[in-house]
Amino acid sequence: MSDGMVKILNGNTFVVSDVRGDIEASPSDPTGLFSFDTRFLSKWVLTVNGDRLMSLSADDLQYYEARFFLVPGVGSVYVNATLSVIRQRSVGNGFHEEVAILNHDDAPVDLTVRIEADSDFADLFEVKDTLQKKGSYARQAGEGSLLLKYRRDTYERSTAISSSEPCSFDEDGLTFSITIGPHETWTTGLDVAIEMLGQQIGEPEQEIEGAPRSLADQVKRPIPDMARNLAGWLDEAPQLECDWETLLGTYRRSLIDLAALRFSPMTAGSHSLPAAGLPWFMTMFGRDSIFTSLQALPFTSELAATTLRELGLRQGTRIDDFRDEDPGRILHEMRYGEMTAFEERPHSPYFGTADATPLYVVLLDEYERWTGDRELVLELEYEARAALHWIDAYADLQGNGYISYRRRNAETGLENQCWKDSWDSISYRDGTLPGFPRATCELQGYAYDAKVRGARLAREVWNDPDYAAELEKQAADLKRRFNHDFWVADGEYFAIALDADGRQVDSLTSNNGHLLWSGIVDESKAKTVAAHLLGDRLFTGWGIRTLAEGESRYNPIGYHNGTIWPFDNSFIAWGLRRYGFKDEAAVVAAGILEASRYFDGRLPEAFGGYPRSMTKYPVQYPTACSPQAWSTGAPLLFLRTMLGLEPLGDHLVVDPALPTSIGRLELLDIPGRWGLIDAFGRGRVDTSRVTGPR
Amino acid sequence: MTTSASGKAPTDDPVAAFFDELARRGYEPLLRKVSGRVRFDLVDGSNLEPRLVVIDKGKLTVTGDSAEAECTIRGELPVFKELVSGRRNFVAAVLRGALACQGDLELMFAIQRIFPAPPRGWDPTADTRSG
Repeated sequence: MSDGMVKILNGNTFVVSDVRGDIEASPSDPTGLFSFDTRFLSKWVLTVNGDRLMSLSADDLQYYEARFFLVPGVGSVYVNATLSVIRQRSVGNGFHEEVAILNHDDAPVDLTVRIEADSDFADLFEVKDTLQKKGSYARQAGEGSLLLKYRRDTYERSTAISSSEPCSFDEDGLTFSITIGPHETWTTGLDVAIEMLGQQIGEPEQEIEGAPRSLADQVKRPIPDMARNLAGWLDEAPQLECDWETLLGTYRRSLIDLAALRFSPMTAGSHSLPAAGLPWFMTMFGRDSIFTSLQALPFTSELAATTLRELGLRQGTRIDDFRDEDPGRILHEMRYGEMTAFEERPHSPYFGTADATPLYVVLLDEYERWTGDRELVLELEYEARAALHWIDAYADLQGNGYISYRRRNAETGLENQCWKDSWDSISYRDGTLPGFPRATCELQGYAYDAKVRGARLAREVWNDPDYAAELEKQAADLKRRFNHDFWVADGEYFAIALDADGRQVDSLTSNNGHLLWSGIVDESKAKTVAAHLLGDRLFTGWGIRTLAEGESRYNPIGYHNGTIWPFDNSFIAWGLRRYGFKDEAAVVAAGILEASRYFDGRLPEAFGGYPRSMTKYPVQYPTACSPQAWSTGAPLLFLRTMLGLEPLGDHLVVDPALPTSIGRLELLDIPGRWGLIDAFGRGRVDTSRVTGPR
Repeated sequence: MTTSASGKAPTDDPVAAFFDELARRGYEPLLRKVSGRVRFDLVDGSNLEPRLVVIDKGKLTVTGDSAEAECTIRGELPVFKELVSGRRNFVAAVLRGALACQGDLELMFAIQRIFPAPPRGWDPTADTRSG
């Protein structure tokens, strides 16, 4: 994402412009008005008397609203401006923009105000990969609107532009010829409305039955009351009180960003789930939506409920090699753009992920533990059983009792179907890459956890003790085999994977932390695993690296080969806590939360794995998306972990282990099956002294 | 319990055969949680042939009735021919505008499960895909 861009969003509709509010997209950059993975506006340039404007300031008022203060004239030469221009833009279904021009002069002024508008209707995939369009364009300038249209076969998308003040529309934009009196202000409201699929598909919260909408209806569609919605969201979240300013700021930033990242699939009514990240990933992802829902559970359970329902509705039912779909598999990614529509990309949805399916069962169980919502667990019994069945029936590609992955769509499918999904993320110590299939270790942990949790649900909710016993037997067997087959004896940690020959891919990675979280690690091995995680090769002072220093592919700014991922660390801390390493969990939490200060409370996807003593501040890794959902969720999970929040029947156990830097901490009104509970803690862990269990 | 769909289409028509088979099947476990009425409107030139699928917790009744439904799915006959052979993806067809859906979209996502899997190794755009 280029710097200096102003981004506002509502669900999967977002606008990215420059600081003047203008959009001048090149085919390859993600500026414009986007919705449902399609660019509906690629040009939106305001001029006054033929001149571009200069930005005095640009404010993101809220995540869905921005304001631009401008004066005529370009460049650095000082302009004695007698005119100011204020653009205020809110994104809803398309966007609404108020343009105000203030005449500061004693004399009236005649102006020609023009907006140039165009759309390339690019699919986000085309923007990413710079591909050519195959359809045709049309423009219709009418009395009250300009309509931009794209058509390819039966595929149609359109953008309608209208104004509250009279203007003349031509095929390239709209022009106002106005006179503004001395010290007067002229304003107009501009609406940019989008349309996909002609009349068929309604946006969230919209009645979809009945007659096709006319263009007039379309441009009149109201923008939802975003301000009230955000205020309600913040109001319902637990209140945080503490002595540490950084944590307060980061907590608030996380709540707001999480609100911004909420996305309502068309089947979810007014409910929402977390999309993965702005701008490329404003859609449903199995893995990201599940991880973020898990992180946020102590704060809001609605995201988890919607994630479970929507992923369940789209669960795989057939064997489809192009989509890497199997019966019971949970989707990886859903897309709505042209390339998906024409089956040039497999995202309708695409199923190429090996972790989302077991994690689905993990989330369902964790959700019930927090909320006591047995109804949903009953409602999703078949989906959960199908997911558990997938683990044994479809994911065991090598017949060795482990989940492994190898894409069946060799052209547009994903090579690495685990969270470390870059091409070189899974390597031996000597840097060579294993072939496929690959059985990465954390997948086995998730499978173990899914079986254990599935057994609890079977016994306590589905009333099927035989199935519960069977799952527990499978889990115990998996754990026994795993602790033997994946244990790197000469390093005393777990290998990142088994290769196609069943040989250990033996580098030391952060995946060991996910294994603690899953519970698959033998008690006798936990201490050395924790010592590795907090040791110098993995822990930098800010957090735990993805790949240990000393491994051949280690690089402090290697995407999955040495950077620190806040999301990864949040689950590792939870894992440390699970095995009783409270102080070590606090150390990891303190490191990442201290780093958040350097990012104004918005943790990036990843930052550099340099030692803290070397850089003094965390070095940001240039990331594609910000905010990113599971980074946004990380501080929430750290709060849970540090406070030791754990549901136990109808009670919430609070067992704090807080870093001294936090001082006093209160988290008030934590929602759950107990109603609302407050948690208190005081910092007592001296994080400078903890260096891992001895 | 089930009524045979109207016999207007020739018997070698795979679309008619598909719905006839659905009617004979009488029960679809993938829809065991689903209840509702879905009407497929098969457009063949100026002819429109309805197939009303009434689902009651997985129990299926298929008729040629043009009665109201909570979800209607309309498309040209060639599109349905591809759907019933697994050579076209239902959701992609909706995004493409080849199928027009109105009403309950949750029902739409559920009912698409009745269409068969593609042939093994099927890559719909292997020859024409760019990028």
